[in-house]
Amino acid sequence: MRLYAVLFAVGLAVYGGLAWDRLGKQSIAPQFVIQADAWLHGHLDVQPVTSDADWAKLETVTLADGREVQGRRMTTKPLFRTLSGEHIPTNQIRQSKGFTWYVSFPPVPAVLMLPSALIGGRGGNDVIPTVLIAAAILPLFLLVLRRLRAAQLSTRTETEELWLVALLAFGTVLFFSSVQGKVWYTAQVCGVALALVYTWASIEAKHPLAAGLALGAAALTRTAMAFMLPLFLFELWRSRRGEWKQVCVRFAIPVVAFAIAGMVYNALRFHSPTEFGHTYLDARQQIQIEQFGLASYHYLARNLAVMLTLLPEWLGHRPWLQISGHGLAIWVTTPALLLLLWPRQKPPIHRALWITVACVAAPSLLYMNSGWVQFGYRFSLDYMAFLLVLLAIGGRPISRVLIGVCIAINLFGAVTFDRDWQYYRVAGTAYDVVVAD
Amino acid sequence: MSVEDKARQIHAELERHPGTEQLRQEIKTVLVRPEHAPTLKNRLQEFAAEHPKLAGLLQGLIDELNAAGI
Repeated sequence: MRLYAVLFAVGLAVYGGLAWDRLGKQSIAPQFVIQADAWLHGHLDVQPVTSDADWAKLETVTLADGREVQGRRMTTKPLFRTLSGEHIPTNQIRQSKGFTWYVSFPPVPAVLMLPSALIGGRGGNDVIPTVLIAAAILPLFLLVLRRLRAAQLSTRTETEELWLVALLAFGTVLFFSSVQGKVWYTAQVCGVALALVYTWASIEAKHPLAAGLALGAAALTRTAMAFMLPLFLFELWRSRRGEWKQVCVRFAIPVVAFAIAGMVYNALRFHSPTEFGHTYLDARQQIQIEQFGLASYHYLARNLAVMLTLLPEWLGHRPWLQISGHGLAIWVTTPALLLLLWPRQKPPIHRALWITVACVAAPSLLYMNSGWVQFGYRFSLDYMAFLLVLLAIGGRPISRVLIGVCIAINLFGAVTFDRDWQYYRVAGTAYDVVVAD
Repeated sequence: MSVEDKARQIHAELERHPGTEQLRQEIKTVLVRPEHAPTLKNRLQEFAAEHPKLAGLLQGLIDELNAAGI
């Protein structure tokens, strides 16, 4: 127990130290705190907003035929899209009656911000809760690694396990994400913590209720994480198929409860159980959303390029290197992941984990956003826990030097991201030019 | 003083000036979306020309944005 506490303290100290200048104030994208405060005041909508970045914005208009409808003006056509999906020519709008703003990010992290909102209201701190959750990832991952060893799925020693904890905590894009506090990063950090709980509970399908709770909460934290489902199902089939009905019921109850809660929440705000609000995002990607939708094959090439090929760009002059605002490839930020290509051992859970990784990665690869703006491919955090578990069970020795290199790379991200923008290519056409000429 | 702190300071100052809602929103936005910095810098320069008393303060933010490389 003491080791878990020590790991939590180490996480708190390192993340807290790197977030130092941000700890005492609210982040610049505090959607979750604003949402939590709105709930405490009995509202689903939030108002007014602090910037125009990534809020769902609904306009209420009166039409020439006297009807009053809600929706948004399309960017690419002179049409007004209503909540019911109707497209009305904008010349039919007689009067705009104002805007309603919503947080379209899945709501579980906002639940975690309730104490902050209780303490500080709309101005509540969202950096400290993020750092606290991030620090909890260290002991959670050790718990998973020990569980794997107990189930004879891993042959790692305790020392190796601690190095793997260091690799996840400080040698992946989790590091820079943990010290931001902004809406996108808080969701990613919560997602990693929930993926670890889910993994721990799924091994040998030992804790179906906890696995269901973690899966349901994760799906309402990062939508793509709903696709973590295969891991539990494979483990159920492998270890407890004789009692699959009882186990499934215990697993499904919390999943269904979260799903119903999420659908009701969506329906109350956007009149559709599957619309969580990103269709109405007031963001630069709105043009693409209107043309291709939130998810499309159209985005796959760019997202694959971001995930697998983006390198630091050498300038030949100060500041010498620059990173695309789309970030760096996952093997650049965490070179140790290359070892996944040559596992020494393939215990029974190996295939289930890879299938789970593929299922969780696919939606993000088809998503309209690459994760912009970022140090490394942050969407990989949705399945990073599984990749690190694969590294653990693979049994291939991981040198401490390699882990040290991973930590050094991600320390650079944690220090410079959103502080020293000269290291990031973000201005002008940077969004459209994924790879610099 | 960081870009963020400078932006917060100017944002607070501008709150005392009516008609600056759009500019204040743009300042907040650029902290989240740094790619908007060139547009904001142009807007700050225009605003500074119209409000000479604030020129020094606004130039401070432009300088900070330049120093941060955006």
